[in-house]
Amino acid sequence: MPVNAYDEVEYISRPFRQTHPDRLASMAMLFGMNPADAATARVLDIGCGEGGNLIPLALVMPNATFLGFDLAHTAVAKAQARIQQLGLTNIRVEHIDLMEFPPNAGEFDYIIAQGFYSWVPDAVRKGFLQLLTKHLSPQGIAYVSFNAYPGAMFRHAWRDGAAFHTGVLGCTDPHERVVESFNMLQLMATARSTPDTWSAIAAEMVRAVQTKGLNWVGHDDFSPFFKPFYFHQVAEAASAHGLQYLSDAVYYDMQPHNLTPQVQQILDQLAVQDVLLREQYYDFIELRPFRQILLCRAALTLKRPEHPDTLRAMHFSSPAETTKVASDGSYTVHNSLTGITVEVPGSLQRILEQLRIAWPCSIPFSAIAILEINRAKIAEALLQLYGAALLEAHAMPQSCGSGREDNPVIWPMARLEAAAGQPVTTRIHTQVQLDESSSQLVQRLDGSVSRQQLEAEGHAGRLDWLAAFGLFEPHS
Amino acid sequence: MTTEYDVVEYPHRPFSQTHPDRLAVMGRMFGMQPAYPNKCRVLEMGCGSGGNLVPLADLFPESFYWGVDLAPTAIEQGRARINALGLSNIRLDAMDVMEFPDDAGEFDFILAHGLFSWVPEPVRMKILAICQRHLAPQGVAYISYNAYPGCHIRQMWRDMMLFHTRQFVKPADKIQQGKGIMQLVAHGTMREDAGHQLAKEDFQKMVEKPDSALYHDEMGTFWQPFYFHEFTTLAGQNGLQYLAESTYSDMQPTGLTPQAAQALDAVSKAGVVLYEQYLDFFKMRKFRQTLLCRSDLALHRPVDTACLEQFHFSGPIQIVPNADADAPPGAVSFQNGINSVTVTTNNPVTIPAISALADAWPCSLSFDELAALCDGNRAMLREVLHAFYTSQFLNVHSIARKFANRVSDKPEAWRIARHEATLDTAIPHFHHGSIELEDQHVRKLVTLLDGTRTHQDLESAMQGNVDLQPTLLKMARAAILVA
Repeated sequence: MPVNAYDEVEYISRPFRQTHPDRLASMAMLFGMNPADAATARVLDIGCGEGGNLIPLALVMPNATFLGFDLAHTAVAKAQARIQQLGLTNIRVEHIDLMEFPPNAGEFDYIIAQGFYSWVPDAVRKGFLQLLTKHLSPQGIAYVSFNAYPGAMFRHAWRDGAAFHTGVLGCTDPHERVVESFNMLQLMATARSTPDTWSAIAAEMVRAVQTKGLNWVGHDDFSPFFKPFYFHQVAEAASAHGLQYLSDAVYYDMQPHNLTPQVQQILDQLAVQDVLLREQYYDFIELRPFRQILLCRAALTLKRPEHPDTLRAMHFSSPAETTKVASDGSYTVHNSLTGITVEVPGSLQRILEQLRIAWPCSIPFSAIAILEINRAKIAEALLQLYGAALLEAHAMPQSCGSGREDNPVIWPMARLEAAAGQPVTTRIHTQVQLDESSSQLVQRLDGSVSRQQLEAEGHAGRLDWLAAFGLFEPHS
Repeated sequence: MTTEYDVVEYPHRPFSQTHPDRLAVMGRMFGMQPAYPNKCRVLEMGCGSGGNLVPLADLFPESFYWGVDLAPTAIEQGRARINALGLSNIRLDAMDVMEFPDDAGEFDFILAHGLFSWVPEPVRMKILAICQRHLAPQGVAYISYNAYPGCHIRQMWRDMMLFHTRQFVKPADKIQQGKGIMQLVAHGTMREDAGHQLAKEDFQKMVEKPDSALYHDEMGTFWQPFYFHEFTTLAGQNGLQYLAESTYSDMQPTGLTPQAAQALDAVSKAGVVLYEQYLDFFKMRKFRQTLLCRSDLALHRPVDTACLEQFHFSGPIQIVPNADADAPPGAVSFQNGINSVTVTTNNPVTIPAISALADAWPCSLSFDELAALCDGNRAMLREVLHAFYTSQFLNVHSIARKFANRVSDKPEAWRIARHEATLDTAIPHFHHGSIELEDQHVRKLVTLLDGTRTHQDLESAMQGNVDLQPTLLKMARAAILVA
């Protein structure tokens, strides 16, 4: 059995919220597409690893069908074991080489390639684009993430340093190689006794590695393949394969942040002239190191700029809480899901308050600020909040239990993971690291313990806490 | 044929780091016996208009200089200077180095400044092949090139500039727009992360450079940086080995933390190439000025400071108010007026030596002359001078430099300086650099300093437009007056 690099140092396989078919569908709707209903769609995950991203989706959307594949045998075996444990019949994870992807596999409404494009050889990258041409449905959406220039240029320096250093040491053990790579980065960050700007850049990289863990170093900066691209290069490659740029996967990433008014004006003009140019220049200005974009078929006519009215068909959710009320009537709100803290006027705060009460469930447009007559204004406000990463727009409703059911049920995915001592995946496609006693509780909540009993044990507060993560099954 | 360098001309300048004397010193420090700069044969590839060779040809009439360049406009300008000065020991030819004649003979010094990274791959290989074929047995070659890892950042700017300027045709537009995109990135966002901080610094540096440097060095058609170890591998394939950097301090672990110095110490046992490569990673080096010699020579590493006894020393040194509050009693502070490197010492052996060098500038003093001032404490003097060279506090020469360090009754400026003063604002000096004289009256004064005019003559000729005495003193310090 050929050993794949990802067999040796395991890549963290986890849910990526920004790849959720619901997210892809809502972005597509925003720009005038008619995407397939995610609840019944066909979804393909390319380079799915252990299925950390795909399996929870299959469990939460039982009427959709999922195919995932990966080159790493150990990862595929783990995914298959998990699928069997959960008794899922709407998902298959297989060991497939992309270059041998079966031509009769049919069309997919959503194709996810997270952490793939920049990390494979040229031929596979081309094969990937050909796969999209062949297998993306007419209204299908593909998620593609890649390391982006110009920002990724900084990382070349330490990647090269690490490769040189581990070569000199003759490291053969993959773990040793990762550890020595990190040592070299730290040396490069701290080498100059009077720290300069480059020291600060390297120090930011050191912190990023410390936050994300050494496995991230192993597979991102230190993988045998590391090929960043300028946005325009990816857009051109897509175009050559009958595809076009739809949008970013994260609406917030598309918005101008912290720009001077003159530069914002330049970008606005470019957006009218050529959206691809606007995106490229925004990457330049941001020195963006990473991108997550959505592609669709080039034949589709997209509506730009996006119109708030498209939101009328959507649902909305937000855990954002008000943390401060200023005397001038503005509110400071914090969204724990995105880490954003900003000031908003009272009119927007009222919408967020309504969403917070419903959280982790979504509410449809028709139910938002029901007393407000001017629906166009509501749509505009929602788009503004979406752009500020204060709420999420959904193509399909997001529903979870509140933990106040007679017999609260933690969804099986989280119970299994808790039992295995792993971080748990939520129904809203996030991941939580539980403390030991919460983990114990989560494992018990399979519907056999009554709310009454749990309250008697003093767990009421903890149940609310777990509910806010979206861990409970909705009341059936 | 017309090249990019005919369209946007490169400035006519001497580069002190390419001076054959510098190369001779570095060769001798590592155990070679290269030729002396006053009696040698020098080849420069990519010589431009001869800004580097013409002053040397005038300074050393017994040496021979040959410069070749692809840009005919530059060669014509260089030849005009040679004719005007009546120099017979220098030749400039418009030539593709690919056509360089095999029978050109041997050269003691071969220079290629700002060429290697900016030409296509076959030309790069030819440059090394020319060094292999034409370098004298004890010859030294100077090759500068863009270096990784630092050039990843330059690559980033280059990519953005080329993308942004792709629809422009006129060089002036490309230059303006190239600066424009850098400004947009540096100042378009209010974010203050380290990346944007670097962008601001790089933009500022770019604005301060001449337009031609932006156009050729950053946006030229060919642009290929190298890791040091890649470069030495290529050199090795052509029978050449790493000698040194042309600037001695570039080889030192100065400015590094103890951890980094310790890591360097560990790898230094495995050879100079490995050591230098780690140094580049730690310093984020983006440019190198490397000296090569023949692979069959046995070099002496590390440097034995005894070799310094054969040299001459100089420095634009001045006594400055004591900068160090904790300095011991009797300490004196000296500063290099060009690079601001400062030395504070109360060592009774070194103070007289430095004071003498300060007084002698722009002339040099020999080791023996300095030793005589230090009670013959030669061992200590060697260490002190080595430390001073390491920190770039002073210059080291293989032959004595004798110019005017006082203003005579009928001051005479170097005729090269007089000639350039009629053409340009950058005036070459005897130490193979140049000074910027923006004031046209000062440049006019330079042209009048032909050794026939008294101070009174000069006063009346300048009609009060120049403060004569301080200006003449400055010219003596700037090393443009003949002894």
